[in-house]
Amino acid sequence: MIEPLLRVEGLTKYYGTRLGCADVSFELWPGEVLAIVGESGSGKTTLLNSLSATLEPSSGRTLYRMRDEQWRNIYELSEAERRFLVRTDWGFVHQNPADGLRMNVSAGANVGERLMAVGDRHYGHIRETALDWLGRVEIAADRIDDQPRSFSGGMRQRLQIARNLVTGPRLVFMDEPTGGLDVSVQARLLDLLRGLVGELGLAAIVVTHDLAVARLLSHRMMVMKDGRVIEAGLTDRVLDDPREPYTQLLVSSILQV
Amino acid sequence: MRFFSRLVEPRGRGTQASTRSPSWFDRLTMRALEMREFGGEIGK
Repeated sequence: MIEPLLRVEGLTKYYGTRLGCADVSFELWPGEVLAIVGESGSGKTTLLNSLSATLEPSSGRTLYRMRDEQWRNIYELSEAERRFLVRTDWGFVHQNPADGLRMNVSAGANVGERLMAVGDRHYGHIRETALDWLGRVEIAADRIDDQPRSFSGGMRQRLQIARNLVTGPRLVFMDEPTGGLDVSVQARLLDLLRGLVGELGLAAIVVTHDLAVARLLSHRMMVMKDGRVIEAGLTDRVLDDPREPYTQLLVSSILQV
Repeated sequence: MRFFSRLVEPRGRGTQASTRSPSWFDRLTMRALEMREFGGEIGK
């Protein structure tokens, strides 16, 4: 029987007296992509950081089904266990690629380091796998020894994706993966992401304020406002038939060109 | 001119991988590039 990968129960985060997010509960299934949408300050990044164990919530818990089928509360993991999980079974694609890449080492090393974290020590194999992944994210093989600081914004983001996916994670967190890129680059990146997510059967949680990104990538979505989830459901249902007035406003405010 | 070239970090044959890189992978790449001069191939 298939079980969920992630189970979130009553997650609440306060910054002092200010509310970050309140009472969020949901389940994420293997291979499912969940989009969290909302305007700036609605609590979506707080929620993502709490889910990825970057922030400790004020209350609530997040249970993750480990590879040995054991359910663990991610906030009760030891630091070593948490680091291992983050390096191997999870990926985190930041909005700014510089946050997720090491800018002063080569593209090959950026991908290779994740492989070394899962125990690969053979230089030839690491290089071959790095080359394969650069090809999959459409970066020319002859750029493998170049540093990401000489790459364009789109290439950096694609490199960050390769770095995250090379270890075959089961769950990937994405924070505005196409933010800051121009529209044509965004479209290609989304196409690439959608292909990889489908091909690898990844579960992903994507935070975005762009409803088009949610429409293209996600199966389900949650709409947040003032730290609370106000509407959740299948992406097509929420976007085509929004029930909450705020969601209706969001959907109707998409620019029609 | 000679003074200036000494300030620039040595780069390996058109790549930005460097012997001073903090990455083990990059330092091995540089060694492989040197080996290639003697008929070796990177990663083999």
